[in-house]
Amino acid sequence: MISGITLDLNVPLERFSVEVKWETEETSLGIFGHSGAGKTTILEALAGLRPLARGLIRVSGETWLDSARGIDLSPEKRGAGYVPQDTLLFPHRDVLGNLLSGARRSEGPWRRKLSFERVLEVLELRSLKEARVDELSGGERQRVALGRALCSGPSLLLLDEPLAGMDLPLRRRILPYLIRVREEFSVPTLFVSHDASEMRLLCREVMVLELGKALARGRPEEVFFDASLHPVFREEVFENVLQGAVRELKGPGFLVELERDLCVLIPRGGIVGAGKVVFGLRAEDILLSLKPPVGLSAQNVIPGIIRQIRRADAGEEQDVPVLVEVAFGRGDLRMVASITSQSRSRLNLAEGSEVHLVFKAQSCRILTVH
Amino acid sequence: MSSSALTALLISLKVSLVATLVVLPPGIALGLLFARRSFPGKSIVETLTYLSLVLPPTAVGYLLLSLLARRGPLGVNALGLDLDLLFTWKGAVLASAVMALPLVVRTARIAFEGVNPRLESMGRTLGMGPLRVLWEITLPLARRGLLASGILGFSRALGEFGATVIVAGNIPGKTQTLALAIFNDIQIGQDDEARRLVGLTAALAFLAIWISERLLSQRRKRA
Amino acid sequence: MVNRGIPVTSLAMILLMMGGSGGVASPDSPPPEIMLYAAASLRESLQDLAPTCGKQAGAQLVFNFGPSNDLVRQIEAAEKADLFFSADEALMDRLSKAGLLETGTRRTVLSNRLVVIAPLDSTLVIHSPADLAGKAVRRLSLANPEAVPAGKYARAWLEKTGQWEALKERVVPGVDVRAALSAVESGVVEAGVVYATDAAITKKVRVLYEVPASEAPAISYPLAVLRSRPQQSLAAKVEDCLTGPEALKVYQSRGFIVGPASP
Repeated sequence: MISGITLDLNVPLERFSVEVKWETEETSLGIFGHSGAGKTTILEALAGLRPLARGLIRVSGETWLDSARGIDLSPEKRGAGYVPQDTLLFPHRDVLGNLLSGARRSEGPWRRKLSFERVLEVLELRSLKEARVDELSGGERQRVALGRALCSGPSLLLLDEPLAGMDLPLRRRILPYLIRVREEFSVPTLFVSHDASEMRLLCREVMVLELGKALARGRPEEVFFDASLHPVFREEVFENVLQGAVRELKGPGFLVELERDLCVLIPRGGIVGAGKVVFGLRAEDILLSLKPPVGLSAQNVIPGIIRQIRRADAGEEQDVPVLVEVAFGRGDLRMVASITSQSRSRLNLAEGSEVHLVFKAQSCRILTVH
Repeated sequence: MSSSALTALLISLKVSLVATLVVLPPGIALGLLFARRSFPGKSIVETLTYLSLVLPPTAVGYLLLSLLARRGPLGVNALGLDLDLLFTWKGAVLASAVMALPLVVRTARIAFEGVNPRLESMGRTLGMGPLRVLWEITLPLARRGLLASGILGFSRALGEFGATVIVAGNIPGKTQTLALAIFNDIQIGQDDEARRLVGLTAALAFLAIWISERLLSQRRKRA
Repeated sequence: MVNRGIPVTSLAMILLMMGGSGGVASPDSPPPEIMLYAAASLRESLQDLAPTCGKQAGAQLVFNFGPSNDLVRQIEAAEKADLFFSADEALMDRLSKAGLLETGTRRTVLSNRLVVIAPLDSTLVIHSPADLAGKAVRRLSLANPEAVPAGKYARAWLEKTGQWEALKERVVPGVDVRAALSAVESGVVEAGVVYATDAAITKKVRVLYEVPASEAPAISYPLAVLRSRPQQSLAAKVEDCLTGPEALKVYQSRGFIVGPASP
């Protein structure tokens, strides 16, 4: 089956133009960037809602836009399942009515038909079938919007900040649905977000967008690592994303096993009982120590070896952050710490140096559980 | 009720209902056009549409009469066939429809402007063509306002006098609506009958407003 | 006590001045207005006479033309007319019964004739009232036959000649005789019945038939001064002029029949 997405888009906006090229076989894609960078513009151009878009769009072998050959399919002829940030559920229909809104398209022979029952199950919408739109909570709205897009038999799912505007507990609850959808239905998906860590869980290939142009493209870990060094994204502190099985409760926290015999203590965060935990740990919350510290309050101390040191692009600035990538455990696990270049010189750190990663349990934030 | 009052009532109802049915499709279509599209010359078209709201009804009646008279651009001589509108109930329908049009268009436009156009875009991305979007999303969501525009049009048609008396004349049993009958009774000095007709008209107007209020508040509760 | 007297006296003087000032026309102030309500068919004649009769009486004539029935209604509702020139006696009787006329001022000096008219390009031919009821006349323009004198006269004529039953469904009633005339002028009806004097003021109609006195009802134009108005003597002077020899010449030139109708 033909798969993959080819993009060569140009969309003029008020202050700048969005110009991106992308060609990939990956099916979990993400666009990361600040507000106003043009992320939503790209999604809407893919959906066919931007008449000024020019260039080429090819999805799973279908050509949706080819300005050179005069092809510009209207939105209803494309197969985009668009879930916008404000969900845009139809207020005059109940949940079932909304879910079935795109049903007619999904019956076309050339569309991938997803089982309606399965969508209800995966997104746990069965109990909400007769509910009215204004009775739904924010999280329920997102799930219904997602279900509606899925039930329309899309060739491409477009999710615009699906977790925006949700508090932490809710994001933790919705994230698994998104992961489940990806695993269950394998519809090519394009996520837009400004949360790097969530994107790392959901995407296999990420594009970083700034003022309409791609700054970087590639696997999330590398892209975000590079992005943290970029002056535009320096404010976005690099966050490590780690996951492991819950070994036991210890005091007010979990003891999470990243690898056999390698545990990290993290706060429980109100979660009761879980199998696996995915958590984030910011690079600047990690201290580096040449020797194992004595009498320190931090509960997590892990020995490791420095694999690479990268200095952020800063131009004239003196005290610039330095990212230190440390391999630990059996050698496959990595953690990135952020220190000042002064400290780096003072400790005389270099590739191959042995260091200890030191961080508080409190610094870890649970992203999701499953 | 005297038989002449009953006749006037039936003529009023017939003329107003038919005028409303005649004016709703173009009125709603124009309302949609003004709400959703811009095009060169839009403000001129809008102004022309609202003209009969601002002109005195007698002026509108005179214009219609000039158009339809035998020697006029829409008269027998020009068209080769007699539209048979002048001094008939159909002429009264035309006059009422023309006077009601701007009210219908304005109310319909406001109704459509209240529908989030992004909901329409959403429908398109789900596979609905423009006509399906209109039928399944835009019209249902604008339903309340469109109903109001219909009732407003009906009320305006019910009370129409100035243009009607010129185009359709004040012919008892044929074109004499309640409004014209009241005028007639005053003219010939039949005050008692005039008062009865005024009461009847007021009751009719009250009923129309009461029904519209109930319908609109019902929708508000449900929506 | 002295103080209270002064305001009262001043007030009395002001009222006297207001009441009195209307009567005397000093050479500098404009002449007082005399309001004349008159039948629509008298428009041109009275406008011709306004300057002379105004000067003669020392007043300025102001007109309210309309269907006589509606004028009577207006007079009954609010007494704003100084003189009333009606197109039939019955309406004047109504005012008389209501006690609104100044005694001894009622005079009738004019009569009129009915004509059948058609639009200028019409090919209709009327030799007798029966021809009117023919198929060619789909619509007949009259002043409202229920109330306006011109319409009532026309209806009386048609009833007398036995054509009313056939024609009454085809009548397009106008608010006054000039509206009826205008309908014929613009060609929206095939024929109409108006006064001969109305047909005379326009070139846009053809006179098809003149209703002879034997067929027509008696047409009569009474004039009277209304009671309880501030300018009684002035109004009387105007009435004298409007019924004097000069005036009669003017009416005649316009096509009216001078002298009361023959019974």
